[in-house]
Formats: sequence, structure tokens, C-alpha cells
Amino acid sequence: MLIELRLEVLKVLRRPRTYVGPVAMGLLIAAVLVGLKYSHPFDNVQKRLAQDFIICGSFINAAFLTRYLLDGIVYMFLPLFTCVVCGDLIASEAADGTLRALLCRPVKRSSVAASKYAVCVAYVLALVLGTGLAAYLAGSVFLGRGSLVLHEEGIWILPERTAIGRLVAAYVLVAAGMVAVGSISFMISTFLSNSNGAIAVAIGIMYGSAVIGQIDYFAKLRPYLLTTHLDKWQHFFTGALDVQLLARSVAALLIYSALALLIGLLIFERRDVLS
Amino acid sequence: MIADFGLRISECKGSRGQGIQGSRESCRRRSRTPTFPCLSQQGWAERLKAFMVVFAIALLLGAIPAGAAKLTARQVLEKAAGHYEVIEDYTADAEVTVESPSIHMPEMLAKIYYKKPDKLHLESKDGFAMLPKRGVVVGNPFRDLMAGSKLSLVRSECVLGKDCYVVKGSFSQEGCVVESTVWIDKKDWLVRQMHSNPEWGPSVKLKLWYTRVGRRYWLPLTTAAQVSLPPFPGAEPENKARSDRPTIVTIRFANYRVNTGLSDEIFKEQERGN
Repeated sequence: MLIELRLEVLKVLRRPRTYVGPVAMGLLIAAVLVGLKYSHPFDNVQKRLAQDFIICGSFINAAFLTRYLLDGIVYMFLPLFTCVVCGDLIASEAADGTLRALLCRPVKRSSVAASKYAVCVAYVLALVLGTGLAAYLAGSVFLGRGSLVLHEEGIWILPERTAIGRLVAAYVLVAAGMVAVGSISFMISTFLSNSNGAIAVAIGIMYGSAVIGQIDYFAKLRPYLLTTHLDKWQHFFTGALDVQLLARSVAALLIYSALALLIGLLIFERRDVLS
Repeated sequence: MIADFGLRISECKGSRGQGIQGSRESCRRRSRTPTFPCLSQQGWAERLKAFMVVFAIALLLGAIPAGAAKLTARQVLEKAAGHYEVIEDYTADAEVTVESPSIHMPEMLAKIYYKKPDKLHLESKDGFAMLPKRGVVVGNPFRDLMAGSKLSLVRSECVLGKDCYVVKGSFSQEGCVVESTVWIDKKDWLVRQMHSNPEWGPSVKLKLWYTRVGRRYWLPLTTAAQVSLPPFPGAEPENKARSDRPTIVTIRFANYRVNTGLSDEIFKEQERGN
């Protein structure tokens, strides 16, 4: 198993698409940072607040950047870059014909699939948590540190320590969500020979879940939808941190991941690799 | 003393069997004849001394309320303003608590810089600080009221355990008439409570507790302001009753440093921001 795992790591590290996500996220962080620092997009909010408040300092800081970034990446960039890698692990090998050569060897199919999945999970965690960490570090250097100020249902000011705790909780939940999306993509790649199909179907399932969650007719389905739990990170910045809510949502997303992995393993075990 | 004085008069009256007037007249006559037993040199001196004491007490008892009643509302405010006139600038550490349905912030530690007449600069250890303007009292809280035209000394009232004058008045602020009431301690001329009701906009209720700094300056130890803040755009209140709750801003001051000659440069950044 360890040998398979090491081989999978090496394979992933040699694929150019592995680096698309981190590079794109780095560029995105830089772009948002420059935008926040030089274009003053929240001047109107600050001026409105200055009518009734004495304000000192700026709320544009590392914590704000890290939180602000989440709004843009949770439904767009992270699922895309997650699926680009996770959906490619088996499908691309099937398309290239290397999977058939690999499975001719005396290795267990479950062991091959599990090592590929472990690499997928590690990549997703590194991408999501690394993005959060990079954003906070870059923000600390260029914007400074401080309290997190949010304008949601009133004004919320979280001291720096509390804000870091909330950001960690939010990024952990988002990471769990991305692992679930990656797992779905991995599952689809076990029976498709085209990684693009795996990426498209996984992202489609996520957006479909979001759309169903908005329709009142399917209200009863909401507690079971992937996006319902993925959305919960937004609640971590207002009010007290609900640890139970965090645990419940992470557990629900892990169940999604486990189910996708199980189905993927079952399909992979029984699949005829003909290409 | 009074009883003693009366006793001596009655003694004198009894000895001659006359009225008080008659007794005084006879006493005056007898003062020239020191040989009479009840009006010896010593007795006369004692009576004079007793009279002086009673006169002084009567003068004191009568003079204080009479003098106080003569005070006008403006005089009361001017006496209270005396506490603020001696303060040119100060710095203080402030512990700020805001209880509000729309502002959710933890207890904040800030350094407050104040310079006459109304320059204020905040520094927060967290890099960002935000305080409701109407909840912060530095300097003379009734400066605008003193400039207003209508002032009246309404009544006396006990506030925070202190006997206070209640001064009412109105002034114009940004084209809006503000009705204001100030409770000023009769004993030390400190503002103990203040209410401001603008024609439109949020009203403010303020209570102040003081500390003596450097044995010379009276400065607030704690201020508690109850402010009704307007709702923020985009902030949907969870329920009406909650959103109607006023904002209470409590500031506890410590480590005052008074009249250190603060530079105007300190206040420039805040002025630009606001």
C-alpha cells in the first residue's frame, strides 16, 4: 500500500494540472489583495459607518482578506481545481492505457484505488487549507493584522484570536466540502475514461444540489444536500461558534465522501479495463 | 446656646418683673451701673458672645438657600464648566463595552487622546476600533447647551445618590433643535446625568461617575450612554423588539494623564477618517 501511495504521489506531482490550482489560487489571492489595498472597495461602508461611529484604523486586514476570499472561491475555483485533479486520477490513466498495465501487476485493485483516493484527499486539504494560510500570511504582510469586522445583520467585530479560530473552522468545513466534491469526482472517474466528464458531472452535482436547495418544493431534502452543509461556514462569523453545527456539517460531508469512495471502490473492483 | 441665651433673658426679666423690651431698656441702663448683681461685666460679655453666635448661625442658615435660589441656569452651567476649563488635553486608557442589537463587539481596550475643545483620537490594540459617536463623552458635555439661548433651572433632584440641579435648555445642531437636560451636583458642580433629545435622530441618555486626577482635575471614571442608533442598511433585524433595544456604551477610564501638551498631529488622522 505504501509503495502504491508513493507512486501515486509521484505521478500527481509530475502532472502539470496538479499545479494549476495552487498557482491560480496564488494569483487570485494577489489580485484580491491588490484590489483591497489600492481600490478601496469598502470606502462607502466606512463612510456610512463614520456618520455614527468614531473609527480608528481600517478593517481591511489579513483576517478580512481570508474571509473575503471564501465568498469567491467556495463555489467557483475550489470545486473546479479539486475536480481537475481528483477526477483525473483514474480516468486519465484509463484513457492513456496505463491503468490496464498497472492492474496487470500483482496489486489489489482496492489498494490502487485507496492510494489514489488518499492522494486526492491530501491534495484537496493542501489546496483549501493552503489557500487560507497563504491568504492570511500575505494579508499580514501587506495589509496588517487585526480584528475581523463584518457587516452582516449588523456589525460584527471579532478580535484577532477569535477571528483566526472562526477562519480555521470555516476553512476546515470548506475543506470537508471539497473532499466530498473531490470524492464524487473520483467516484465518477472510476467508470469514465474521460476526466473532463468526471469534472463536469461532479461540479454539476454540486450546482444541482445548490439549485434544489433554493426550491421550496424540495425543502424536505435540504438537510441532506451537500451544499446545505457546505454553506454553513457563513454562520461561523456571526454569533457564538456553534461547535455542534460544525461537527454535524463536517460529519455529513464526510458521509458524502465515504459513500462516494465506497461506490467508487465497488465500481473499480468490478470494472472491465479494456482500454 | 439658644436655650442658654433665653434663660439669661428670662432671668433678667424675672428679676425686674418687666417685658423683654423693658428688660433690654433696663439692661442698657444698668450696663452703666455695674454694681447691679444680674448685669455684671462678665454677664454682659457672655450675652454679647452668645448673641453673636446665634446671629452667625442664623446668617448661615438663611444665607445659603437664599444665595442658591438666586443662581441662574447659566451660572450653574458655568460653575460646572469650570471643571472642564482647566483641562486642556488628556490621554487615558479606556475599556469600552457596547451592548447593542446591531453592533456585536467584544470588550475593547483603547487609548483615548482628547484635546480641547473637541479633538478626539482613538488607538486600539487590535488595530481597529469603532465607537458610537453619541456614546462617547470627552470634554465638556454641555458645551453646545451653554451656547444655546433657552436655559432654565427647573428643579432639584437626587440622581445617583447626589442632590442635583436640573438645568433644561435647547440648542441648534446641524439645523436641528436639540432639547437637553443636565443634572449638576449641588455640592461639587459635576455633571451626573444628561439627556439629549434631538428633533429628529437618536436620543442619548448619559450617566457619569468621576474620579479625581492629580488632586485637581475631576474626570469621568465611568460613563454609561444609552443611545438609539439608526438601523444599518442591509441589516435585517431578527425581531422588532430586539431591534428597538437601545445601544448602551459603557466606558471605564483609567491611567489619566492630564495637560501634557498633546500635539495636534495626533488628531489629524482621525479628523481625516471622520
